[in-house]
Amino acid sequence: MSRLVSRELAPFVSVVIIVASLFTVAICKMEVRRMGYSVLKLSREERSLRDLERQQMVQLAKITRPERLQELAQARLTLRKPHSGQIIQMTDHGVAFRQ
Amino acid sequence: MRARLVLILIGLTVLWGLLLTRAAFLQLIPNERLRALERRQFETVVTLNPRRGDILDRNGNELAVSMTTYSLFADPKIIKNPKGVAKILARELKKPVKSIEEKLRQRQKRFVWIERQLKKETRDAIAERKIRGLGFIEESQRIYPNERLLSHVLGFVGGEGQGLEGLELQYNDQLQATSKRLSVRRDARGRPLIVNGQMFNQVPDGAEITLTIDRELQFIVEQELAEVVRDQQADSAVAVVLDAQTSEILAMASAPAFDPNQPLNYSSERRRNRAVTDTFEPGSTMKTILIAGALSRGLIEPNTKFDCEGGRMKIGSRVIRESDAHHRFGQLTVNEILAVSSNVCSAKIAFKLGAKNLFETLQAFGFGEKLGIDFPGEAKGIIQPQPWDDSHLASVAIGHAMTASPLQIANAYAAIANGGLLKRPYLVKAIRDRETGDVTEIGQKVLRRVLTDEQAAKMRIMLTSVTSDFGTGKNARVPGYPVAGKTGTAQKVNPNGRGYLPGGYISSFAGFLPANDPKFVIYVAVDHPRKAYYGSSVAAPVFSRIARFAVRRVGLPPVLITQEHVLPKTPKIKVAAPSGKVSSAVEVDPIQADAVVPDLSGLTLREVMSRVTGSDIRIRIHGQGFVTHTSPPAGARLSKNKVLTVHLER
Repeated sequence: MSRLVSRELAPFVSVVIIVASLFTVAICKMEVRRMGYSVLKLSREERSLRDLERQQMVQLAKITRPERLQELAQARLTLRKPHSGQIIQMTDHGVAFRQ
Repeated sequence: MRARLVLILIGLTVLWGLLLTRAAFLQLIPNERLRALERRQFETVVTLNPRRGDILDRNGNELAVSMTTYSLFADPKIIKNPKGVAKILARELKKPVKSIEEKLRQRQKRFVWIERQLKKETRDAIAERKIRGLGFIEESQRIYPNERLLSHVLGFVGGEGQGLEGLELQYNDQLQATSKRLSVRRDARGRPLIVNGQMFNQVPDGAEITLTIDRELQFIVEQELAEVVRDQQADSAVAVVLDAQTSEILAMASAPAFDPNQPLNYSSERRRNRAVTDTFEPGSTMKTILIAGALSRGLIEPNTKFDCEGGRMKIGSRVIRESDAHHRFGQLTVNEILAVSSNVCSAKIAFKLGAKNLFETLQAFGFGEKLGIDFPGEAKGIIQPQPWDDSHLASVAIGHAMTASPLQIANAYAAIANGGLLKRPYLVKAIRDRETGDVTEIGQKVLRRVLTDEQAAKMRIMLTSVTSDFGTGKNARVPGYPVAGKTGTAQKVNPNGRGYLPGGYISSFAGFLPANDPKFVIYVAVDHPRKAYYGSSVAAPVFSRIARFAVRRVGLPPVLITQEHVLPKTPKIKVAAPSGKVSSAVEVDPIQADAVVPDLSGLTLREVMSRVTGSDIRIRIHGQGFVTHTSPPAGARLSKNKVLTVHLER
């Protein structure tokens, strides 16, 4: 009896399996496409962040340039250029050396 | 009926057969035309613009970098309301409406630039408006974050990002990468269908170049040059600092400088890297080369004596004199000739050496030829071809009747400093390929041996006498370090005619330190100083200041430690910190009882600390900036251990 049923159902099951496989393939393809869009969006975002990082790196380079640091030291911290004899160089021999 | 049905069936079968055959033909037989049509319909080309490579100093500090910017263009044919669009753009771009409107009204054109190199924020603000007929193109903008620093060496780029001068031009091929075009499938809306997300971010950037330059040292050198040009009201100044052992260029500067971010605001003359491209008569700094040539041929020794004829010698119809009319030298050793820079005795050494040998010596030391530095426009200088008459020989002996570039002079001194090897000076230390990560290191290159080790050592000792008490280069001394070098004062050739410019001199100093084990070779030349003109008083002090910084920069321990320069050891006293808490970290000299409060108003905190050193005053600090008043006030007496409150304001 059961052999008869399964023999009768076999074509139907086959069709269902084929249709399901086709759907699975279609869904997988759609998923790949959807993920492709996500990847595109994320790669653009990554690029934009890299550009931002670079922009900040340039900004850092600009604000730490020696000329600016000197100006700030003189204007805000009231530092001045040392005169001869005002620089003390520490030597390896424990001697403070006036330059 | 049946026959008809069969006929219809046959007909349909044939038709289907034909269709299937055609379909098979289209699908299976390769057809370029159809493939091209398919590509046009389903594929899109994405162009990835590369970024120009960075230029870094030897410590990795950025000297030239590139950033992505956006250039705005318009298609005037499809812009419906030029006036309205111009108003919107003018607001975002901060430009006059009229100029933008004029561009948008050029209906005959399909492409006009509205504004180049916009920042991302401006681009986003305009893009948000979704105006039809406007578009953006990504471009790379070159930025020199240090502005004027190293401008003559770096050069600059043109509007399309191509190197036009300096290292930007020399290494243009390495810095500038070609743009990458990717062909990817697209969907119905034209969006690319990504297979590999990384492919959009793997842009082939240009190579990263690391220089031999030290940014901090370069800054000091430029500052010193700017100062001497200002103080001496000179036309210009130039300096080169080399690593004495490798001929790496640690600093190379010309003053006045220019801003490579706006190169067109400056004349081409101002943008020239004078250290490499300009040559001039070097003057007495060439006496070193003359003596090196005679020494290498065994014709003289440091103690060989020459008669300097009382400061005056006749050569044919010409009379050679000492640079200072008061100098009337008699018998001098070679060592002394160098120290006092005697013209007459130098001419005598040249006669002993001979014209041919002097010519060969100059060539051996790299004069009259290009050294092969990795920089465009290198000048080779002029040495007149043989034969030379006596007058010409005497002139060349004292650094006239020939020309040399500052780099050639510095490099010749480097040969003496490093033990006799002439090396190729170079600016680029390494080139890194951004795609592969491969690093190409560029090392020193020996051109030839010009002196033996022993001869070079003798030269170094003789050159040290120039900075001795009786030498011309006293002002080039650096406390703690023996300095070897030579002053130079050359008459300036008249640029607008024959002969020399009246009152025009080029003052220079070439030298190295420490003389016993040289680390730095420094050459300084000041063009047409107007307050003084001797190399000893104009260029030597600049040499000294640059050298002082250089030895501190690399932490070079002093060699000559004299009592004069050593600070006495001092006991500690306590100084109150700004918070009111007592700090024990500051060392101050011993104290005096019953100190009187000095007038400290207008001084900085550092100066206050300096003034109270040696007194028995405990300092309490309020505020920052300059001293406004003290408590107790100036002139009042303080008993021992009493606190002095200092009020500062900006």
